[in-house]
Amino acid sequence: MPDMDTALKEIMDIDGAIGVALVDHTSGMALGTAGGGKELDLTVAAAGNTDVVRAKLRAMEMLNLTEKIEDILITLDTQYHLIRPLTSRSGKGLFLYVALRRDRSNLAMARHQLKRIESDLDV
Amino acid sequence: MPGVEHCLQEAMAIPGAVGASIVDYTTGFPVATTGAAPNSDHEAAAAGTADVVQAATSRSLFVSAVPHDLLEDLIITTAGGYHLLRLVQTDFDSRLVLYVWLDRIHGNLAVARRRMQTLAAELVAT
Amino acid sequence: MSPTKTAAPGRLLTQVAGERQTGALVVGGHPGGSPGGAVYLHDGAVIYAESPASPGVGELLTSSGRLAARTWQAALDAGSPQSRVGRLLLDQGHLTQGELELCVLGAIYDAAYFALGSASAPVEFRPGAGHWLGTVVRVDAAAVNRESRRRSRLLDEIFPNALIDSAPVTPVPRAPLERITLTALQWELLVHADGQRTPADLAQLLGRAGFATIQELRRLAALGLIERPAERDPKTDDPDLVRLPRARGTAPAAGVTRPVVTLDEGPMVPVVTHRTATAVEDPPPATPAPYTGDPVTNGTVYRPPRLARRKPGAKLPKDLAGEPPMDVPGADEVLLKRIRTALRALR
Repeated sequence: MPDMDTALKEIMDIDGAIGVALVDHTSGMALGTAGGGKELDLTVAAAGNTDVVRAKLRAMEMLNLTEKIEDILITLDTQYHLIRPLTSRSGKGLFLYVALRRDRSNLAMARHQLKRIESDLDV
Repeated sequence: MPGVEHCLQEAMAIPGAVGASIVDYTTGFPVATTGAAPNSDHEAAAAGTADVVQAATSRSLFVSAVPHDLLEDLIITTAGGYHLLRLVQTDFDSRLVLYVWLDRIHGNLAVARRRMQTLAAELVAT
Repeated sequence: MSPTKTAAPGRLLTQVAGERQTGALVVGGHPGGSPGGAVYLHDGAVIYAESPASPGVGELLTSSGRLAARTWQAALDAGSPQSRVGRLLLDQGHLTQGELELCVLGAIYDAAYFALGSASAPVEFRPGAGHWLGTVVRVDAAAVNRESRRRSRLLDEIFPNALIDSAPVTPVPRAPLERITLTALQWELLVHADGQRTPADLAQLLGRAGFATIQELRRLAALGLIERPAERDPKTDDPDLVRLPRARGTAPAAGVTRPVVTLDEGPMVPVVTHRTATAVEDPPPATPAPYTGDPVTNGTVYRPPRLARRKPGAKLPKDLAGEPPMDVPGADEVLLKRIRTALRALR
């Protein structure tokens, strides 16, 4: 079973990946991040942004979704952002947030790879 | 000529679609609705939709640093279904999304996404 | 049916809609408070609404560049007598049905919020009055009422100070936070706010929905990025900085509107002496917020230019064009104003 750092590295190997973070949404803290660069404003690194994630999670609850969320895909003009809550018992309350370059990535493949890495991840 | 009602009818014709609406995401108000909504409540779903879009555009964990990298669509996958939100880009000031709720078994995400892209564009194209 | 009386506009709307009436519900505004407006009904369904605080269909379509001003004017001239301006725009292929419907729906809910907002206002129903736009959409009056009430709750959840919705907008000279994230609309508002323009002025100038504008302004106030207007305090009223009455009946009355910062938080600084030191040469008369205690650095702070920023060739909204910002003139300002007046005369 890969640990967090190995998993983040593996995710950065997905075609087109530009940044990834593993986030605890109860505290809003990032347990680990990788990538970034000039295409991405990694606001998670900034102080005082802990409620950013909570706002998002609260919003999901407000969508009235009683079912469990598998993933969230956000399409921008030049990027895809993928959010995937961890399913393992040890990963409760955590999610992976990945940003991909749209012109370098295969969305279906990326979703599939992320799912596989996430299900193996042991925190 | 396709109007709002026609657009929603077409959205309901997407395989697996169980509900559709056009939502103003500044106010969380469903401007037009058809079919079913999560928990049978279009207004609550619209308010949630608006929050998700606002979170994704202004409070996201990662923010694209590329200028004009605007939100195109947002898809939430749950155990039972897909929730697809596509921005309707009008030239005049409005903040609208087309929201379609798809059944997971009968819906095909790739097909639905392409279809919604066309519908949202047709709604405002001359 | 009803002569002008003072009532709850929302209740009267429910009544005339229930009677399946056709006509216009006209709501009077009052200075410094509710802007008023009108809601048009056909067979009891709402077909249009307008308010001085929100851009109408024409402003939305022309200020965004979607329609050329003369295209709009031509449709208005040709279509108004038979109330078919909307129909004409579609028939002539200027807009798609979807665009027009979405634009009208947005304008209805936006204006209705302002028209129906007050609990009590002078209202009058004019039976038979139509609107030049014609019937593009039909909206249930109950839905309009419900949504207007919900919107006012939304605003109070953000920041409960209704004075923000009508008072001139003054950005604070210094941000109270190290790092700020703004939405695009918030940025636009801060760039164009000059201590003179009211939220309604800004909405019309930018072609942005009136409600979206005040929603963002409440957020900016909550963040401490614009000054929070307080109730009028005679002690801090400078008669020489009073805003002139305006052409439209929409503006708050002179003298009532100058924002005064709330001093209920943070350490008190000698605001009065400070203000007299800067206010004369530095209009807009922004009382510095408590955290900018230093009059020296205050002079170097960014101030939005007095002239309206707009796209080259864009028409200055007549609302604003009619009324140059009444700043206390320094030499430069007088010169600028003269040049501007001269340029306007050349058009």
